[in-house]
Amino acid sequence: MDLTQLAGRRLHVLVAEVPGALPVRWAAESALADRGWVVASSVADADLLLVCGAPGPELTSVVRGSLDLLPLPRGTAAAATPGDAADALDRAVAQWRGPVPPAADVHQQDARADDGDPGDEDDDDDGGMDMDMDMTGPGGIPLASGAEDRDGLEMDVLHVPLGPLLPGWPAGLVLTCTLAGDVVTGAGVEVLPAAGRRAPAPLDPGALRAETATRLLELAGRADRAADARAARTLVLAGDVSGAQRPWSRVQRTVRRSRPLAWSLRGLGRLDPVLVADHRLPAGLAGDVHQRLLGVVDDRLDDAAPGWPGAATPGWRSRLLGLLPDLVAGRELAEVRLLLAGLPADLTADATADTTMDATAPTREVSGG
Amino acid sequence: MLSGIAFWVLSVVAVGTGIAVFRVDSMARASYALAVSFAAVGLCLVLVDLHFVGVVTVLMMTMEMAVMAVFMVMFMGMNPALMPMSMTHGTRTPAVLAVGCFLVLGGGAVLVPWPERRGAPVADPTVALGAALMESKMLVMLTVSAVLFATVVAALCLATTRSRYDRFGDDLRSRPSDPVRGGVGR
Amino acid sequence: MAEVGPVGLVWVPVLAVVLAALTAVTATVDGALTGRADRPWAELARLLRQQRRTTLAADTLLGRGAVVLAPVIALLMAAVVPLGSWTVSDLSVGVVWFNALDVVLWAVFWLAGWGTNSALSLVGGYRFLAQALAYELPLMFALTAPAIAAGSLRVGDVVSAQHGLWFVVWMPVAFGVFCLAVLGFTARGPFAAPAGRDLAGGLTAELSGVDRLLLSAGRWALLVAAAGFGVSLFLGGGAGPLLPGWAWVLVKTVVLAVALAAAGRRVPLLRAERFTEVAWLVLLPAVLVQLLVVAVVVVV
Repeated sequence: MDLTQLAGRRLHVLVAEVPGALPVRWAAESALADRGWVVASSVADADLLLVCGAPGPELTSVVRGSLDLLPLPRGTAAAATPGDAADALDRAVAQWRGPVPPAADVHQQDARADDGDPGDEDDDDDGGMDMDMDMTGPGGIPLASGAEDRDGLEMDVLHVPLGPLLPGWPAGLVLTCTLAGDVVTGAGVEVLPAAGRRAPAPLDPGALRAETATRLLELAGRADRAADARAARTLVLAGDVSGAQRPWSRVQRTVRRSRPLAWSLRGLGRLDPVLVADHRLPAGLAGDVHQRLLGVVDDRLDDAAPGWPGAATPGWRSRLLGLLPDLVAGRELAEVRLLLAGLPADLTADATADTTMDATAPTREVSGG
Repeated sequence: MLSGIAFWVLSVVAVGTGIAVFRVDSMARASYALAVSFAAVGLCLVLVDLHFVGVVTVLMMTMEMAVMAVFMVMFMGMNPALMPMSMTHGTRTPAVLAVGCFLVLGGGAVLVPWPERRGAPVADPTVALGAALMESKMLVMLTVSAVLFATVVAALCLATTRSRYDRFGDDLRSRPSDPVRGGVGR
Repeated sequence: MAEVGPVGLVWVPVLAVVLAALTAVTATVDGALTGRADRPWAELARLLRQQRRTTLAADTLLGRGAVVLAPVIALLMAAVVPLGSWTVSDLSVGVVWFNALDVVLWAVFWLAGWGTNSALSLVGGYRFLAQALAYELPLMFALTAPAIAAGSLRVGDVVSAQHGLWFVVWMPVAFGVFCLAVLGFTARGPFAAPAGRDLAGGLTAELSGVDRLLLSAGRWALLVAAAGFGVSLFLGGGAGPLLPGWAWVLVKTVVLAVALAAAGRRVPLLRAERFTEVAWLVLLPAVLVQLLVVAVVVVV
């Protein structure tokens, strides 16, 4: 038993999901679970990079940039269809086990490129004291300017791109946040589309609800129930609905009865019902994160009723994406993550190369507070 | 012998990091150089058998520096900079005062004829120190601590920009309006 | 029970080995409880093989120094824990020593967040400070309760004072607050927000290889060392039938550490601003009342 063999028992895989390739990612996650591997939480944490689906040009460059930032030893592979996921993982592991490239090829690049994780932001500012007012800081990164945050304190303005490779995040979504501390004061939304022109097939609504429950529970700190929700999702996709009800009922029980969970999530990510109605969004999106979570777990996974998030009017996805900068402004990072994880998982599913979304909104400085 | 070496090492560390506070480029390094300097002084106190005072000095000073990191953001409006930045203002007067103070105190410590020790040191120097400072005035000390705490609370209440009337409305009957709700529901 | 006596600083390497062994056992048991007993070993192998990263304009002195300090502080905490009748350092203010070390952790975690020049890890560092401001004062008072009952700040005296009745029985509030604070300063369970998944790992967002290993192993070692201290302060130290004192300390430490990790998994993440109100308005008065009860019992 050498170190490589031991290390290969629990690899961390960064899953790069392309919009519309949710089934491929689901297959990849169940393949990971079969091998005892886990989804990586960041680029620094990952050993393998798995691309699920066929990315368009911008997403491909982001993935390539992220691959450069993965620490060695690393491996990468692409899976175009759900059936290909397990083989892709095998190919990636073969690279990971293979010889390490020479030092000249592994130059760690500047992470300011639009990559998966929020890149390295320099927190510099000149002190305003008697010194040369050179506007570049160490590493050539320009200094940050100051602005007031939600409570009226003057703080550094940082531009941090969130996504597209974060776990529990809508696929291909890049939210370029303007941060004051950890409060988002403004945001720009962009969806990096998939390649190709096919609209994706509609997804099993039960699996979508289980996916949203997984994302919310993972971010809320109940990883055990998130694993149950993931298991329920896998069983539903395999057709075993009655078997899926066992882990799903545990999820339902915890969400309905856990008082610390309710206390912790209540009041966060509140969407005004009037706003939801005005923009003709699904009615289930109104309320706070806890209410959305309750709505998600309300029915059995095979329920034929419309369920969560309710009747959808056409075009709601692009309307919701267009609203994101206003919804996100004035909230802090944890709340933004919970808000986005609580939205339907196929939010960016229509972003293929021909349906260029109108959600590419420029950064709007919305003064919060 | 060992304690002598330890004393000299700690002293050099304390003075060296104290100087470093004014020579380094970033606020984070300056604060933690100061923390290391205070910690070295605390450990020197442990060397002279004042265990409690020494360890509590380390505790208090580290917590102070950590809280200072929070204040740096609040009042300086910026995260600590890595830019070469002059950390000192009005250098001449404080330098003169500091050097003068050092000469007076150091000269006193070296030149004053200290009395000879009579008898042996007590078993618990911390208790003896506390008793010598406070024993005859213990009741006053107890009252003073409560008054100090009340003063701190009163000063905070007077200084805060949001009062009960901002939170609950003019008749103190409305629901509390806070930008961020707390966990207890008040 | 035999009096606790110091064995001198020359035994520190032995203590380090003991602490490492206990950490390994605790992590393995915890891995077994979550499904894979070889989880910590696989992670160890993976991180040892992984390349170390540097970020642009990082403050390596402070960042890497802090990451190295995390296990060192665990070792310093363990130095005052008596193993039966031996202890490495018989400091007369052992309780305050532990308290000072858990405050130094504030500095360690903030510097780890600051060191990599990344917005998300700095947010993680500040989240740790926000939580620490909440649990620290209740912890300080909770640590005072056993000291008052024993009439001394020496850990050995506190262990000896639990002859008839363990302190956990009549100081449950203090023990509960202590456990909560241990979860807090190891950033685990309800207090895992500084290293949370929503920040791409928070403090650990830009760390890989040896740095990540030191921070993760340091957090586990801190859990074990603090559990050992809690055993001495509340659970009677080496008291128990059949086995010698030092064996009981080791067993109880592992049990408490595993129990804390398991309890942490069942509680969701608590938001710092909500927990702060609870800590200052509910926990702090409760601990003060506990102190009053202890003081009355000691005097009467």
